[in-house]
Amino acid sequence: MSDKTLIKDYLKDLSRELGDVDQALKVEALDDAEEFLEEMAGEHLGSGTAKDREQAIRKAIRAYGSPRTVAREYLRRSTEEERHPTERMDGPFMGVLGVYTHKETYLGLLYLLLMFPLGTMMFSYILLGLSVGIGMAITIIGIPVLIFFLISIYGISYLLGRFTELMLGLRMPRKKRKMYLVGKNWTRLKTMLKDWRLYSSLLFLFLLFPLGLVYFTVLVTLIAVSLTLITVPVWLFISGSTDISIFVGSTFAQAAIYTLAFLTGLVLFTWTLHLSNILWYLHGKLARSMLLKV
Amino acid sequence: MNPLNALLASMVPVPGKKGNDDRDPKFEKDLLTGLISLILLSICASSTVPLYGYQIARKMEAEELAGPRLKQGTIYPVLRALEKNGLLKSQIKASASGPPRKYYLITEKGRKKLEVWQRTWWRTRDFVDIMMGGGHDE
Repeated sequence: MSDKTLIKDYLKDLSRELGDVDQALKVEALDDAEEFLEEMAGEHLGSGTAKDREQAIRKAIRAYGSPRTVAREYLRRSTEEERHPTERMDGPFMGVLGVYTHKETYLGLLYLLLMFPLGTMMFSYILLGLSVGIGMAITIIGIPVLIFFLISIYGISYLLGRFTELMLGLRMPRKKRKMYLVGKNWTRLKTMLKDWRLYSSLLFLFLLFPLGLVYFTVLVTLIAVSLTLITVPVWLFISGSTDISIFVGSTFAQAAIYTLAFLTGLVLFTWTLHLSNILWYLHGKLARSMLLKV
Repeated sequence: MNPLNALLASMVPVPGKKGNDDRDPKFEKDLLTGLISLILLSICASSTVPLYGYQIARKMEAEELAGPRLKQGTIYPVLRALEKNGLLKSQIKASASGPPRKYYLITEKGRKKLEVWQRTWWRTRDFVDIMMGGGHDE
């Protein structure tokens, strides 16, 4: 059995022992194991036959610990959300009034509203970058422009991924150690351009414009309407008029209408928060599947 | 020895293949669980250059006879946890031989925390010594 297969098998076992944990945690654990095994085996690679190498790897694996021991240690040192990612993902679907008590509700709403200005900026930027880059590709300047543009998309995607993690509490997938941009500039550039997620990020950033527009329109409208309804009694009180001409005669009817408006507003507002929670949850999942690994 | 005792004796696992009776792996592991963060943070604090996981593991292995035996795979998750808590920071750098390495360096917050942990450890050590009837003669 070759040494590479031994390491691969070990990583497979470790992955299985980790079970259904957060993908980011799994990548970290596998990266660490690979680093150790390769480093320790590497010390013996130059010297000796394939059999020696195999023995070196086996020794490294013994020193590292069984997949079960190592996996258990990762699980013990990890946070709750890393251990049970699926339960964490159910976060937004909280009880009817539970939405008010979760900070995710407000952060998520703010996040969705921010997508509109961000989407607008990205839309213009991408159109500009692509049209200048591709348009001038026939001349010598076009290619550097395109490459510079893609580097900037890489940076923006990375920042947006981190920002999304911070705001929504959904961990973005982690990249494997091999995808890190290290080494000479040319190697870094090649690693970057070969990553398909760079292009899906580009598409995602482009999609932010229509998505952000929809989020913004729907949420702002719903919030405005429900806040207006909730504050109907206040407005009437401030304006000093307790009389709406269409309800002349009956103060009871007026009171009933105010109360109804107030209650409808409350229900609509709560419902809006739920809608926003579902939206950011789906949007977060989309971001997770399209943005660059961080 | 009566048959029942013989049966019981055969069911008790023999500690270590080499019959090394002065070590109790389970007890060592229990002790280490709490101390490993202190040990790793101390190793990082005593180094002026960033260290990667394997180097840290080797530093511990070098003192293996004095210290407790542990599987080296169990120090990596602790390093990650220390980093998540801001006590260590890390940097990925290319390696000539294998995959890129993750180098750890202690942060200012880590140094402050280490001082607290050290004092706690010294206090605990003294306490244990006293409880065992050795150590201090006050």
